Amino acid sequence: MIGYIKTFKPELKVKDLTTYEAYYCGICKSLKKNYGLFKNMTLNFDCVFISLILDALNDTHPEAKSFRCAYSPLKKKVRVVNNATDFTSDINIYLTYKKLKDDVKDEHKFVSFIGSLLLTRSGKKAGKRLGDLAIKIDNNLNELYKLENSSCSDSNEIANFYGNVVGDICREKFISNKSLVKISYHIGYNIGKWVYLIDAFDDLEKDFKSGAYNPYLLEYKYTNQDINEFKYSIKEKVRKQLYMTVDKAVAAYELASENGYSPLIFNILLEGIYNTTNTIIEGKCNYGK
Amino acid sequence: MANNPYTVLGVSTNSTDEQIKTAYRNMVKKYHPDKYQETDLKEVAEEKLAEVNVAYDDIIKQRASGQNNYNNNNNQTYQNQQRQNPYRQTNYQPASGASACDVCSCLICSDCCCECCGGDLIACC
Repeated sequence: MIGYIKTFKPELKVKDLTTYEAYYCGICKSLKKNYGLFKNMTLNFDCVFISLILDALNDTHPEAKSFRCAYSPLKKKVRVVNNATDFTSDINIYLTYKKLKDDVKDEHKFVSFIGSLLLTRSGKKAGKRLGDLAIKIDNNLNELYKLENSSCSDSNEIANFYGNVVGDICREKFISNKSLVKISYHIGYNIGKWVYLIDAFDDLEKDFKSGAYNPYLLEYKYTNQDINEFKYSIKEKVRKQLYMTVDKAVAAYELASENGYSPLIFNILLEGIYNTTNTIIEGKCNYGK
Repeated sequence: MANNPYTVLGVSTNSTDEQIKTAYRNMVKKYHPDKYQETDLKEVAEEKLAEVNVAYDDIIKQRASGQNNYNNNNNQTYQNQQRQNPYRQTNYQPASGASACDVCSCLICSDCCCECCGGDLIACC
């Protein structure tokens, strides 16, 4: 469930792209600083989105620093330094660690086993830094695994728990302002749900071959037809469900007052996610609306 | 924050009454609590909507009395940008171009034409 929340670059302004990249670099640098070299390889786009949402709702104007990066040493880059990037780096490590551990348990993957061994220390450190939030995440993930093991056939019910995970993460930073707590929870909840569902649809073929759990196979009662035909037959229903989920997140974000971050966030919500949804559902690249 | 009603609606102080009305209608559509049913966001939406209503009333009152207490200092308005939401394709669209008055006059005209030709569209008149 990694890396689905992307920007839609053809429609993005250069200044917004710079902001986005500055956040990406900021989180990468925080990972390096807090957890050591090579841990920044775990960074994904979803965490960039989380830190952007946190700052967009707070309307912060973070400090930006110019630096050189080992991956492109000739070009100077800008990175953001603030609490949100530090917080998201903890989230990033913790969720990656949990995912690798789950992969080892479920699929007995060798690569995941090595990865989880390498991340053991960092994962525990991140859990300590997150405190109560780590416990909440664990509880929700455990419920999710329980439902997966009991072959739950309701995709909404099971995606609910992943939505809770992301929702809890998003609301963590706004304890004082009540309406912001609600707004950020709803954005996180619906985006988390969308991520789980789109991942399930994307992995349909793979899960079918390996015999792993997939909510859509059970919900739409797969019988011995061709898997591509099955995918085609449920396509429109899934699309409707995914649109409705993202629309709720958009509606929640519309309640927050708009600021300099809004064009970027709307680009991700209205165009990036829309494009990803259609690309995965249609099974081909879908540029141009 | 002491709210400038023009900032709340996302319009500039020298915009026309028509523009303000459109902006107000868009805001009402955006913050309508019915969009947030079954979630706890409904209260937040209601607060926002109340804010917009107060701002609109303020502007109308002020314009009626012919004074303007606010400077045009909102150079950066993000509010007024209309974005297309691709997830809401089956949007509710209010019927446009045909008010009750249009419908009635259309019917009466058709009836007159009909009677000229010897027929009758509306039997009672």
